[in-house]
Amino acid sequence: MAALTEADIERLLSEAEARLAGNESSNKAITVVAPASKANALASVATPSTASGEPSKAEKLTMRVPQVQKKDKGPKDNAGADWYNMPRTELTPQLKRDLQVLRMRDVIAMGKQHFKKDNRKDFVPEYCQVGTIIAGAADGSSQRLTRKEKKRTIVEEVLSAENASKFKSKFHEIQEKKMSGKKGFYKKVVAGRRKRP
Amino acid sequence: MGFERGGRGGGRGGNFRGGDRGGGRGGGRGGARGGAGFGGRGGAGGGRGGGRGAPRGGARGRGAGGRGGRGGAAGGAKGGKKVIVEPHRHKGVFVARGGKEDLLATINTVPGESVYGEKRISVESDKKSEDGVATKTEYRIWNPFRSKLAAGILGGLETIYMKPGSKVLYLGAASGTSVSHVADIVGPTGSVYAVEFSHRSGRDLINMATRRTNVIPIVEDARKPMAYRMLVPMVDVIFADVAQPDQARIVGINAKLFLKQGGGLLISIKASCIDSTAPPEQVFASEVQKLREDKFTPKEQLTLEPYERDHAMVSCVYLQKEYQE
Repeated sequence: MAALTEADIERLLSEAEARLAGNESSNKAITVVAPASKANALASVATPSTASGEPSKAEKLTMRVPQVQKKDKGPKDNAGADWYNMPRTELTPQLKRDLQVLRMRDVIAMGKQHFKKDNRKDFVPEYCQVGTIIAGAADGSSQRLTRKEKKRTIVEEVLSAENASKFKSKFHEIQEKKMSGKKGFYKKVVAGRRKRP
Repeated sequence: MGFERGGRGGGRGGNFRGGDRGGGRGGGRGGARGGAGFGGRGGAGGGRGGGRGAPRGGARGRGAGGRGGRGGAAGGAKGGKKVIVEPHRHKGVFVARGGKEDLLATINTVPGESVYGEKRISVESDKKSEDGVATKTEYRIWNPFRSKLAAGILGGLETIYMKPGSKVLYLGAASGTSVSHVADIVGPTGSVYAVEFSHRSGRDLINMATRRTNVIPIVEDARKPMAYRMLVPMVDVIFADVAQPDQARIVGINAKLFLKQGGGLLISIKASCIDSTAPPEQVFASEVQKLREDKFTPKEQLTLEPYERDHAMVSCVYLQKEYQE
């Protein structure tokens, strides 16, 4: 090792400088082995043992690669033991519709019933399950739906209710109001005028 | 209202409860049908109807079916309707949201059975467990008209102190309707020590406890806690629904024996049971003062309207200012 000449050291230093300036600082460990082995080659006769035996000091000298710490596995797949491992919401299109309908219960009640406002930003709860009510053993037929009345989703329940036709008329009522005086409305008026003469 | 209130059936005799909650409690709330659950404000769903109705139920015969002396139809969601179950803010409690109302629910640790004729919610998940069987979860609907704790939760209690794994001493367990829900909140890792003096309702309580092994029924006088000191360890929470004139003292001596430092107390105070002549607010204030003297730190007090009349739920912490888990 000690056999390095002044000129060699100069050369190695300049090489290293060039390397650093050349922006070769990738994430990979850059060993300082290469110059050392060159040095070994130069002083080959003097230190043959270092080449074959244990790695030399220079070979051991590596740059530490910073380990990127893995974040937590992300959102948990259930609500935890405190809520009996309720599973994370599996958002199917049907469930999404149901949740949207729950938000608009006020509208469905047609002013007959008022609900607490749901202020949550995201109407999809983090954890939820869809369940079916089971009437108690002593509950009579007034407390049970018939087989025909049973539906698969809340949306279907709403649409099959007897006042479902009211939604349609209400929708058209609102549409009429909103579209009055707009483009389509004006076109109709004009068309009517043209017909007249 | 999602729930209709029925009579609780009479004849709760025994000198522990003094029969104060007897048959006079019944009577439907007229007009309270069909409307919103607790999520709603019951707009045009009808007024309060004719007051509290006539006393009904009386001394009902024992074992009159699962429903017992409960009057009126259970309003709310019909069997077969779909609901979406979500976790509640309080641990171990769930909210079921349906097309017309929101309902409070707890998990059913004995799937397939209801305790007092309450409705259940069955959830079938398509995910299969390791042995290829579809997992099924069941919840039981918790009626705030029949449980003061449920009424307190809906009233907005900041904390109920109990959660899965807690140990709860329940004074005034009655037939074990509320106790069954508390047992489901604390789950198999927790336990509920349910004290009830009346033998008649104690029998129902024991029946309920045969299916829920985390309930330890104790048919003893809560005024003499030394009688059951061998059964009850230190507990995290005391829930007291004893409706006795000396209930603050009863709670005090039980807390001294069984409640850990920094443990919680939830006490339901029925004004007319303590002093029927004084105004309710005054009764509540004097009871809270008595609790203070027993080294409880009152945290909050709320009325149980509209579920109970002239009732207050007071939440306290024992020997400390803050609750300790």
